[in-house]
Amino acid sequence: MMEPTGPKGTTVDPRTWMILCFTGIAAIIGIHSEIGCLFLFVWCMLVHLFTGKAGKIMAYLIFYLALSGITWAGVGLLQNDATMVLGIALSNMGILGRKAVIPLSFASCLAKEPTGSLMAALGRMRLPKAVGIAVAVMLRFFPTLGEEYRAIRNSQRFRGIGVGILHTLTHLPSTIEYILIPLALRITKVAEELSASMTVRGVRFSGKTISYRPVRFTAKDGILALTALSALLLLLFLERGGIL
Amino acid sequence: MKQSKFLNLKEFVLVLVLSCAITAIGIVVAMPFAFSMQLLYFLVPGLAGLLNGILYVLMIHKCPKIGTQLIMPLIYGLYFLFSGSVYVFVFFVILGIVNELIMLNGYGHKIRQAVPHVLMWVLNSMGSTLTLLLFRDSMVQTYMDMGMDAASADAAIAAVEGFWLAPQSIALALVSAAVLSIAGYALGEKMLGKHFKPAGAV
Repeated sequence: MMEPTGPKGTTVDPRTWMILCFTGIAAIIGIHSEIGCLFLFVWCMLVHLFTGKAGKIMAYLIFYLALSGITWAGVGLLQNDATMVLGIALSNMGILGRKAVIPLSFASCLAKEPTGSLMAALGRMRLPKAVGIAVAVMLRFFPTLGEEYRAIRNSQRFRGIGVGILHTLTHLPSTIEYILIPLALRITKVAEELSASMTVRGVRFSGKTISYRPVRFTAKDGILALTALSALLLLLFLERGGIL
Repeated sequence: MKQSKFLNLKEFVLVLVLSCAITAIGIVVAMPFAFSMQLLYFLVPGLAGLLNGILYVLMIHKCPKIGTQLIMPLIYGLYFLFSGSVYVFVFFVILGIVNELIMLNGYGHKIRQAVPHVLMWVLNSMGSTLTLLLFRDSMVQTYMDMGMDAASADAAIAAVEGFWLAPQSIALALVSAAVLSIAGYALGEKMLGKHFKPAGAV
């Protein structure tokens, strides 16, 4: 079979984003120290920088710094019995949020991969087609859900529903009903459109899925995956050895 | 034509997108209460179950087939996996399998259909506890790195565990999640007759 031709593919294979994502999950569970987590974050940002995804680094940095501030404030409040409960809530939010940003930043890169490339890459991992469909739908649907919600909110505001916090709180049951029901109906429509789109693309047929864009696990992907595993092992070694 | 017992492509996609919506609602509902440990523990899982009852009822009426009960906890568990809580993800996968077994030939039975929904949000109320236990060492280390001495850091975590793992707290969290998710299921059944059936969605 001829190698598919088409526009130049993305620089990183979708499988590499998955490896980075799962390495990130392993890393945030295994690494406990502040300095270790900081190194993890720096490594994560370097990966984004060297893979042409530098656009979001500033946002991640601000998010990380804000959460560090929240953690610091939370730990400060922990020292006082009266503010201990709030301190625990703030510090937990800061600690868990800063950890989650690492795998989630890689998941967001995976979400930006074209659907065809994603499904072809998952197919090459010998995963069932249903897994590819599920991953593609899941990664694409969250932003769509936000857009649908905003559209419904805007249209309901014209009818005086959910205008302002006070009005929303005083009419909470009806506000929820008038927003959640149209959202549920809209979701069923989107699902029908998605499945129709998949049907005409031939997803329901058995056979190998190929991508319009080239999907290759290149040397660059190999280096990225190896670097991720090395960074994880090195940080674990340094932390367990008492160096970090 | 004989209907398949398993989800077809259209139903599979519908279950996926409704599960994504359920997950999103579960996350969004927690946000305003993030500053209060008590509300996060005792109210949020039930509140999510209350709102998601509407989507759950719509889902089981549109796709009463094998696979529906597995996908929803799986997608919700993935959110925990990407946040680093592997244990919680595994528990949600197990819950999905259990729910499938509960619902084998069970669609159409009003009470039996409510059980997977209640179990889902009851397990969710225990998710924070499991996450806390998983990241205990990280928390102690961070408290120490940010200026606390080891004894104070350990005492702070012990206080959280004392609250989180106290039998009365666990019981209250479970009962609250169960009651509110049953109310959510009942609300969903009401909305089915009031909105979804007249709109031709079911």
